[in-house]
This record gives sequence, C-alpha cells and structure tokens, in this order.
Amino acid sequence: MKRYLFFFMMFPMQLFAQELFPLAEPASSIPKGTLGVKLYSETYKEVKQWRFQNGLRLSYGVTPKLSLFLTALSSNHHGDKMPEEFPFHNTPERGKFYPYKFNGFHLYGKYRVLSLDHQNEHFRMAAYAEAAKVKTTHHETEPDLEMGDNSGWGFGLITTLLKNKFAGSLTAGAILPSAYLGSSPDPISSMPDIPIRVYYGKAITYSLSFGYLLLPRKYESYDQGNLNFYLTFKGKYYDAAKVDIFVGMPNEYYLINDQYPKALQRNYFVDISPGIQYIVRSNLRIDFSTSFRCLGFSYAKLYPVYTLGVQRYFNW
Amino acid sequence: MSQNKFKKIVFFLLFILDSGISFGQIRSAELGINGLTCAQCSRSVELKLEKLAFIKKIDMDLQQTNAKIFFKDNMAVNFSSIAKAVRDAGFSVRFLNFQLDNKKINYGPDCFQVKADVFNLVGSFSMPKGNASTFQLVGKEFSGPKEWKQYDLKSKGNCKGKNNYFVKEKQEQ
Repeated sequence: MKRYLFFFMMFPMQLFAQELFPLAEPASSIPKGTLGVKLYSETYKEVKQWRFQNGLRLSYGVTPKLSLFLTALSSNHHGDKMPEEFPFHNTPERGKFYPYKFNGFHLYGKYRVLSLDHQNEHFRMAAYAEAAKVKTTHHETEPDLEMGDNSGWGFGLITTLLKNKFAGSLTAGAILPSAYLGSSPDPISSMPDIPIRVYYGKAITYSLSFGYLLLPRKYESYDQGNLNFYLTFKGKYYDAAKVDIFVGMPNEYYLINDQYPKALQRNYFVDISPGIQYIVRSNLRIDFSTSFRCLGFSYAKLYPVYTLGVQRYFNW
Repeated sequence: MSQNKFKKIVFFLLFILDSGISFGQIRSAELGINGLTCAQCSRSVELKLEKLAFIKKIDMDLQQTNAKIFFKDNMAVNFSSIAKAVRDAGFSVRFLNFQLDNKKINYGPDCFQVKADVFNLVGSFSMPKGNASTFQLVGKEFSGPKEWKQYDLKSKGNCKGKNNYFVKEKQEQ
C-alpha cells in the first residue's frame, strides 16, 4: 500500500490531467471525419515467458457525437484447446507456450449524450456499447472483450470532468460474455477429446481515472511536447463460471460452482495503474502504464501488467 | 465579343454596383471555443476551420481557447459553417464576433445586409460612427443559452436574405 500512497504524495492536489487516458475512454468523442490509428500491447511475465495481447485499433468520428472503434486482436495467450483436466486442475494454465495468433475483432461505439462546455473546462457523459467476436480458449471466468479473451457484448456509461489541467473520468458498465464450445484433451491420450462448454461469468466493470497535464506549463504552439500523468483504478466484479463436460454425450454433467478452482469462481478486484503519456506535435500520442494489485486481483493475468500504446490521428 | 454579350456584362456590373453588393466588408472574426483544454483539441478545431474555403488565416490562442479568423477577399462568409466546424470537432462556440467595414454598409433600423446575407439587430443599437464596428452573433449555435435566451428572437428577424443571422452591437472596450 505504501507504494500507492507514494503516487498520491508525489502529486499532492494535482490529480489533474488531459482526458486521453491510456486505459479508459473519455466521454468526449473523436472529431467528425477524423481517423485514429492505435497500436497497443498489454504484456506481463508468466513463469519464463512474456505474454502479449496486441491490438490494432482504427477509430473514427462518424458524427460530432458518435465515435466507432474497430480493433483487430492478436496474442500468444490462447491455445487451440482448453487445458487437460479442465476445469478441475491446471486452471489457469500457467507458463504453457502458445504461438502468436490472430484472435478476432472488437467493435466499440460511443455516443456523447451530454456536454456542458465552458472555457477551459467541460463535463460530458457518453453511453457506449461494445461487442467482440474472437476464437480463443479462455481459462478464467473473468470476461474481457477489449483484449479479446471472450466473445460477447457489453455496454456502459462514461462521465468525464475536465477543468484546466485536471481530468477525472468514471466508467461503469457490464459485460455479457458468450458461451464457448470447445474441447479439452482426455488425460488418457488414446481417448478422444472431451467436449466442453464454458459459460463465463457476467461482469460489472468500473474504472476511475485521473490525470494531470505536467508539460507544457503554458500552451503557446502545437509543436510543444505534451506530458501527462495518469492514475487509473480499474476493476471488475464477475460471476462464477459454469462448465459443462462431455457436452452432447449421455454422460454430460457439470459441477457446482464452489468445487471449481478459484479462477472460475465469483471474484472482484481493483487494479491501480499509474501511467505517463507524451504527445508529439499535438498528434502522435505515446502511452505507457503499469498495473498493480490494489484490492483483490485478477486471475486472468500476472502482475505487474505493462501497457504500451502509440496513436496518431489523421484528418481529411 | 458580340454586342449582346457585351451588353449583358455591362448590365451585370451595373446590377452589382446598384445592389450594394460589396466585397471585403467582413474583415475578421473572433471565435471563442468552449470545452477546449489541450493543444490536440485546439488543433482538431483548427483543422476543421481550415477546410472552409472563405477562411484565409487562423490565429489560435491556445491559452484563452480563442481564435482570430481572417477572411479571404471577395468570398461570402458563412458563420453557420464556422459554428458547425467547431461542433464537428466535438466542441461548442462560446462567442463569435466579427468586424465590419462601416463605409460599405447601409444600416437600417432593424437589420443590415452583407452580400446576400442579412443580419437582424437585437438589443440596443446606435448608428456606427467610426470606420469599423464589431458585432456579436446571437443564437443557439453561436453562444450559450444564457446569452441568447434573453432576446425574443421570434419577434425579430423581419429582414430576410440568403442566410439570416441575429447580431448585437459589441461595444468596444
């Protein structure tokens, strides 16, 4: 906890910032007709290897209030089959090698419903909806659409306050993941794979982001570098999974939830993620943030989690 | 050149002179933008404004989030397009003032005309005496509700043109 206090003390009364949060979307929309291209990666060390989940995101301002985001997702995080003896043991399956593969797409739409603008400040609210279509074997009940762990859809509300150099944003939403139908190798190698259906937990998502414009102290030109500090609290509350085994066979069955491994049981967590951002010539944006455990933890990753993003806007 | 064609050109030039259409009457405008807090945001507004053909130059004050806009000669200025450009960038107009060359304007009691556009006067108005006057556009797209709701715009606007605006005289400070 000491290290979290350190960040507060380092920026006393300065939880200010721009609203270009590295790990959350603000309520503001993308200018109409503007295309954003973002390349980002979330990574953490798992046993002796690094897991990467990567996204190439195109964002576009369809109208002054409606923005659409389409992300192509890839990772070295998912195998072709569920682990052996899933869900009884080996969940999550740590340290196993998976090759990089293309997982699918994530679509996100955001509509600004309220704008209270004043000089050097604004208060805005937006509603969002998202959907993901991926082909992945996800071992934990915690759903994630944005990084492509699950297919499914979600929705939520974003509230952002921006005043001078300070920005704060609250996002609350839900994820309704789709069921996954796949297989798990039978421990007896001569036997065929075991058909499995996983109903991942529905989730409530929440994040609270703050930021502060560190540089420049005074805006004079577009060529000035722009340095922002961010602090994000982000988490989920999700339900337990239900796993059907021997799906479609006479001996199909499932266990009651409390016999599952922890990673498949109901859980909640909040991560804390300090981040830094540098914007070159008012356009090229480079973000870096690190996520640590704050309250509870996620079974779907190992801490610390590093996130790097590079984004550029194109206007025509 | 045929005699008929020559006559047509002469008549056209006489029509322009007689109708009071003159060029370069609106010299510049000052635009206040609400909601801006970063250079990236200001840049997006400026890029939208640059696309308007009648704008010659924009000087953006990043600190005050105001823009000084200079217009091209001989081109009609469309203030609604300026407000739309700001909205398209995701922001709103705080105020939009413009400077007018008084020598070329025939002021009426309720309105005046610049090219094909009509500007209906609201609030107190005294006949300008100097070379230039400043007016502030009044309306939903040009200012916050506190600013424009104080005027009964429905009872105004008797003068009609291609584009119709409401303006109030801006007293020089």
